[in-house]
Amino acid sequence: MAKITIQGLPQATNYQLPYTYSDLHLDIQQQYLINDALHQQPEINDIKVDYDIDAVKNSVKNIFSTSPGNKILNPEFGIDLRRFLFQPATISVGYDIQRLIYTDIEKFEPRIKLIDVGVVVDEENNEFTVTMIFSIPSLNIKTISIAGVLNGNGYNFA
Amino acid sequence: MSISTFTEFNLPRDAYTAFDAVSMKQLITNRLKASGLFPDIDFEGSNISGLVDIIAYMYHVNLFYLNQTASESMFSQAELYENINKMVTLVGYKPQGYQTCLLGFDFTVTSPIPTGFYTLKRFSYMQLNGLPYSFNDDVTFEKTLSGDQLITSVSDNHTLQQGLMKEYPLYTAVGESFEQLTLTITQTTQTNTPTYIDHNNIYVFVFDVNTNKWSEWKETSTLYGTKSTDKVFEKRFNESGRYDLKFGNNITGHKLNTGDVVAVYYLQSDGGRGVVANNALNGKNIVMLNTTQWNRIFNDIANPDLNYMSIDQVKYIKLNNQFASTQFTVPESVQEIRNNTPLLFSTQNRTVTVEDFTSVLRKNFSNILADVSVVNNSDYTAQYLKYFYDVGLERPNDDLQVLMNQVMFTDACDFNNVYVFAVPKYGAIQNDITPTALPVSQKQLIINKLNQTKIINQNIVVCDPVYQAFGFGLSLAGEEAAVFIKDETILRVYRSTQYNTPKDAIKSKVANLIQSFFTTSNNNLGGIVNLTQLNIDILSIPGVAKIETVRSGTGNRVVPKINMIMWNPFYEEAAPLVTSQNISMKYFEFPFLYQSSNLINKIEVV
Repeated sequence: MAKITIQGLPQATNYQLPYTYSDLHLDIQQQYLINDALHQQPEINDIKVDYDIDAVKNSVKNIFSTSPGNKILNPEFGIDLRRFLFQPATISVGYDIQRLIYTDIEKFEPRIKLIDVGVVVDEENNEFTVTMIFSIPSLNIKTISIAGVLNGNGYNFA
Repeated sequence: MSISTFTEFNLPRDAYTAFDAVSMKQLITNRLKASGLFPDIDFEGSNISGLVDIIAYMYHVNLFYLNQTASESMFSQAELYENINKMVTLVGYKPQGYQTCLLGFDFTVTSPIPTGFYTLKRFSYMQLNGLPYSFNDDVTFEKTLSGDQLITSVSDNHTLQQGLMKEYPLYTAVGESFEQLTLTITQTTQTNTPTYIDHNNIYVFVFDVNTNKWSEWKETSTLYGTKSTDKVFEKRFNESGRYDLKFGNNITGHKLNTGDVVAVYYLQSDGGRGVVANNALNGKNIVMLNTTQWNRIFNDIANPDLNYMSIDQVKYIKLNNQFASTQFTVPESVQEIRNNTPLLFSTQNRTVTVEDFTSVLRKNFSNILADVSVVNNSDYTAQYLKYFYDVGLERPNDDLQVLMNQVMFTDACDFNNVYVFAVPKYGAIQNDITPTALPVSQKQLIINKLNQTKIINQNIVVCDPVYQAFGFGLSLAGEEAAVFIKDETILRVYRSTQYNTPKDAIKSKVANLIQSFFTTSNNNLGGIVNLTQLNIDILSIPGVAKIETVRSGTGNRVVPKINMIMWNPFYEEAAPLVTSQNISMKYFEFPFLYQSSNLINKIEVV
């Protein structure tokens, strides 16, 4: 791999940002960068950005919806939920899903601290409802939960 | 190289070439982190990280194609056939297309035909179980005996070409300078009935609107150098695998008149299916090409002084082929074009040096020659003729092949001879024990080709190599080497205790390796028979612990390596060479494995 040294790159500006984390919002949308009445002018609109807790949620959702091999430059990234695609909705499989989330989620998302993972099996509809409770210490958020349904269509967040 | 920099980032102008996907991702990440707007870039799960991945990977892919496109524009690196074919037009190189199977034959005219001169019309053919073989030129001969007569002058100078002559739709000329006609026949191997046009059999006849007569236009290697009145055309196997026929401009080569009609005849080959065994021609009748268009053309181009055979007379010609046909040959590959182009360019369409002769022969006769070496008269006498004295002949002409080549191709003056030693590509060794020479008709093809480019006073003589037989052989201490020791020597292979490979499997692998080592395509005239490498290769076979050459019978002796005997099967009384060392062959010597099919019985696995 080529090692590139870039001279003359501007140094990071040392000022206090009003947020800790920021991420692109998908799908890409426009919004006012500074969203107050004074600055709502067409010249300053920009792409929509998710901050802090929403940024972390983005990351967690991406981990769930990515299978290993999908991310070209990091092929190990993602939780391999696809392996359960053709398996019956049973308690045993539910345990496997739970164990997998416990094992992998903090590896790919170091900002969160996993508190609990609940997997409810819906045998009739052949799907699992997964609820994940975690904290984000860097944002001083004690508990936050994300729930979603895993079925033949993939993992869909509530 | 870089004369300027990107103003914003202070990067060299050619810095883009140094990035790959990972380093590009790193650059973008650094930039975004420096701006402070997207601290999440560090987290692989973030949307921005995914977007950066996509951008970096797209950059990588684009750079790959940019690099490939740049490479494809260079002669030394191009990999696409279309590109290299087009590139070499700059130096006038004409890539070789498909080459059909060739077949030598004996030509016997039976008694119902009275004595006299006769000519068999070109494009006549015969069907060998559905495979046509055609004459590509008029065959003129003299019958001097009233009974059956074998006409050697025909078999020595003509070769049958696999395929049938086809008529391309008539083309009406526009009348422009350097008018070009492209034969829009798709050659394909994808169907059950593949279509191949033989590279060496495309013939052009033009109906002149001014004279109302057909005439034959001859192929020339290049229009430049021809006269304004020469009825010639240039042929090229183009980048699409089709043939371009280019006519002159009344300065170099005669120009087509507006309204002239061009008739093209091409040999449609059956490809690899066209190979036939020896004696396949027995009892097959000759058929004359009989189409309205061809008869009309032939009426105009026929030589009034010749006595053309009628359909009734043709059936009294009997043909036979002692040898099998040559194999079908596919077009030059990219690598072959890359190798041949500079060599052919350096010849400048002249054969002067040894390299010139070798290059021309390798390019044009890849379908019939496995290897060639070319020498002058002094090297010929100093080594080749001396060899026959060394094996015990009173004079070299006592060797039948040497005598025949002398009689066929040389004249009274020898100092200007150029000797071409040619190894036939297929069937060099018949029946495992007998080397065979290139048929005379194929030697004549070589001479005809070289006559177009040679210096005026040179005389080309195509000779047969001395084939040296190889087998396992080990002499006893103090014993004079003799050929019979090959019958008392075997190769013993010890199986490793760490492997449980079956003994037969090991024996088979060793035999295959040795057979491959002596295959015609793996050897050269004047090459080195590298027995050291053969030892290493055998010991590298999984399961082989060690090898020994074992002599038994009249005495016992063992050596811990391959020991071989090399001898001339035609002169077994001459002292053979028994050695385990590498053997350097002379320019006229070619190795082969004696009784190759029996090799497995000469190997013992313990």
